Amino acid sequence: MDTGNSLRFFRRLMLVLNFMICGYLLYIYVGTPCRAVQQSAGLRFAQELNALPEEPWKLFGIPLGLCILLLVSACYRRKESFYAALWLEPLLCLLITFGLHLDYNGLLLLAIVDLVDGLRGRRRVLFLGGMASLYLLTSMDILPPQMNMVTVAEYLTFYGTHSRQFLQNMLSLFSALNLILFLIYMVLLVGQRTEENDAAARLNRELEQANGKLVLLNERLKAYAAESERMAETRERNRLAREIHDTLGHTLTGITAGADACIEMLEISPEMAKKQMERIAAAARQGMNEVRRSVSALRPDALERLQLPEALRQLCEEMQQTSRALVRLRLETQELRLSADEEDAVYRIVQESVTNAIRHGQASEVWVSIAPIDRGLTIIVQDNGIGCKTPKPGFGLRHMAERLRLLGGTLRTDGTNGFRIEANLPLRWGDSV
Amino acid sequence: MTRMKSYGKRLLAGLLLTLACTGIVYGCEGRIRVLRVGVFSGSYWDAPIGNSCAVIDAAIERFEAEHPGVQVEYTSGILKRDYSEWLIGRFLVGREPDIFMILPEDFGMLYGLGALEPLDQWIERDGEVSQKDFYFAALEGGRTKDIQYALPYECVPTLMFVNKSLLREEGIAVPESDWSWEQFYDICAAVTRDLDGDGKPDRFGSYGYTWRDALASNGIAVFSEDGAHSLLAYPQAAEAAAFAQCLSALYQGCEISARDFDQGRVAFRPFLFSDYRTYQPYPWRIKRYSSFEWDCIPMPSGPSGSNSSELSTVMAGISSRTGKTGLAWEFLKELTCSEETQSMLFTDSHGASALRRVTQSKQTRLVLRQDTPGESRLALEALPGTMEQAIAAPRFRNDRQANLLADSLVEAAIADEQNLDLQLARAHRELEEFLNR
Repeated sequence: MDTGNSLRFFRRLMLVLNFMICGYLLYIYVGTPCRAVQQSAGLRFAQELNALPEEPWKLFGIPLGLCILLLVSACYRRKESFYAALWLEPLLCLLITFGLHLDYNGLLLLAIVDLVDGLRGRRRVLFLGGMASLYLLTSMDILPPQMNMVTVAEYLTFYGTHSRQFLQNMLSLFSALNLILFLIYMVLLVGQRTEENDAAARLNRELEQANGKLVLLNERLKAYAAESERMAETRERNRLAREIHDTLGHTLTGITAGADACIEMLEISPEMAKKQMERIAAAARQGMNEVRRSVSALRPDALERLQLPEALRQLCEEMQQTSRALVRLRLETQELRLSADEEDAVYRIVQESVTNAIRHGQASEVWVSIAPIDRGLTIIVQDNGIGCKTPKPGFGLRHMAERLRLLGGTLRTDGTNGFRIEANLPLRWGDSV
Repeated sequence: MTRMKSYGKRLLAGLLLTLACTGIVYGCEGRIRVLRVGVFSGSYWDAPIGNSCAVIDAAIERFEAEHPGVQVEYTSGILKRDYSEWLIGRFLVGREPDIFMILPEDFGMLYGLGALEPLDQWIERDGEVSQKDFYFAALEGGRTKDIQYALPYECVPTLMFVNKSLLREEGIAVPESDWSWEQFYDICAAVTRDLDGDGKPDRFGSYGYTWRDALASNGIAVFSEDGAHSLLAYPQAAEAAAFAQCLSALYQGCEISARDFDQGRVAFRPFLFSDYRTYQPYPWRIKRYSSFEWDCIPMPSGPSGSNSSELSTVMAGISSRTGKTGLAWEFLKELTCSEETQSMLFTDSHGASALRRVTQSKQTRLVLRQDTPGESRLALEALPGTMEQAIAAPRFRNDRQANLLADSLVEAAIADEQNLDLQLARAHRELEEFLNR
């Protein structure tokens, strides 16, 4: 039997016991005068009384009716009518207790048992306090004589010593039994509550532990990502160094050597020098081609596959998707005949600027505008982020400025209203490196 | 919320149904109103009466005529000795009469149980009834702690029976109405003697005169009005006890019997007015006390009191639980305050009315005179005075047991010839203990 069931069982048991006690007292109240009258001992009986007992039908009928009401309320109460029962049941119990001449007030304990489970917090404290005061008040012996009530002790004076003792003991026994049931119920209730609290605390503890583990894992993951990025950077740097050494270094070495020979030969044989110069030019061209090949290996993947406008659109779209910031791209011209390194520069500037706007400026909207002006191209990236009064010349900005300088362009930044990057790139229309 | 509403509605419907049922029950009862009356057959003072219910029957007839739609019922044939048990039994099973006769010894208990309706406000509201209409002692019998709970229906004072033939034989005149203990004692001492020479007196001064009679004529009662204290410690009580002791000492321990009295060998005996009314007229007159002339006079007065005696009063009261108090009050008035009913006490019963205007009326005097032959009319002349001077024993809860205890204690004290004061003090202490337990 689990605790809920045993609680219900004890509640029912108490209900039955209390009705038995009521019946027992009513039997004494009604039976004793009738027996006294039957035995023509009414006078002897009445002389021991402090007041006239009420009419038997009233004495019996009123508590009985109230008991039935209480039974209905206790057994067929709906959840919705709990608050109605909260005043009705204690009232009924109190009325029955008065109907029983305050000889038995255990019904108030029954009301507590029946209702305490449905209350929480301050209400429960108030309810228990109220019921306890009622219990104490009804336990006092000063009330019945003042209210002209005939107590059971007065009724029992009618019986002989043995019967009186027996009847009195029965009543005490019943009352004690009721008290014991009340205590058991309360102990069970407290036990149940404690178990519930323990379970909740255990769950909380487990949740906290899991949280801690998660935080640790997260940090490890971050460290791992940083490590992996650093390794990729190193790898790339090594490749670049290798590339430069293999291609440019090789060619330049050849050119230097060839040029030295040329200087020597110029005085001896200009013809030979001319031939030598041609060879140097071929080697330089060869080197140029090597460099171009290397650079093309470094190009962004998008530019490998797409035209610049499409690549920019895709870039903006991807940024928008990954960051949830609104990235607007305005291309004033579709015909950009740019060399590969110019295309690279434009792409990298836009990529870096938008990334900065989102990462550092926390912008929710970024405007990218690319327009041809005079013989050049102007790239403006404006965001609505937090801006930056004195932009640190971090790697990104310096890198951008270097790229532009190599191509003869300029870079301006303004961090007062959001952040604005304006890059000017002179165009060598039709030129090709 | 809807459930709450339907819960309230059901509760309301239940209450309305109950009210309706109550209304119907009361409505049905209302058409013929039945007033239940508790009476006993015969005389409270055991005087033989022809038709013991004549007075009640006549009162009921008049009442029903005056109040159409009202039916007065009573259970007939309950003897006086069963009446207390019957009445309290009715109360215990909740079927008590609305209005009932109250024996003097039951009043304290009924009052203590709260069975009696206080009448003060009814008397006040009713213009026809005044407490001044009644003899004080009669009214006092139904009164406790300054609240009137019952009105006197019939009362009987105690008089002193005088054997006139015996006194004449001794050459002593019949005492006046205002005689005293000394005269009483002197006469008793003079007539008590041994006639046949066996060394024991066989003619006596008095028979049945107790310390209670002495107490009543010495202006004091055994208990205080509220029944909280014994008054035995007062000097008047000690005087009364001492007088009773002296009187019994005259007879040298002889057991005086009713036979001695019947045969005319006793000069004085306390005598109930009802017995006087029984034995003075024909035919009872020739059945008893026919061998000597006799009459009745008031009781002798003590040094601190008057010629008063205890008045024995049967009262009528209303149940505190009746639903027809108004009607019951009307009938109570018919029984206790109406001249018709009260004058019938003199014609159809042997008691006296507690109403001054009835007892002192010409008609009553005429009725009494017709009954009483010859010159023995002292008692009749003395009746109004005796009634005025009479006292009522205090009535309170447990007075029955308290009086029994007082009797046994004081009689034991009187029997102890040496230490009367000491014994009285002990009796007083024991009574106090009983009253305050």
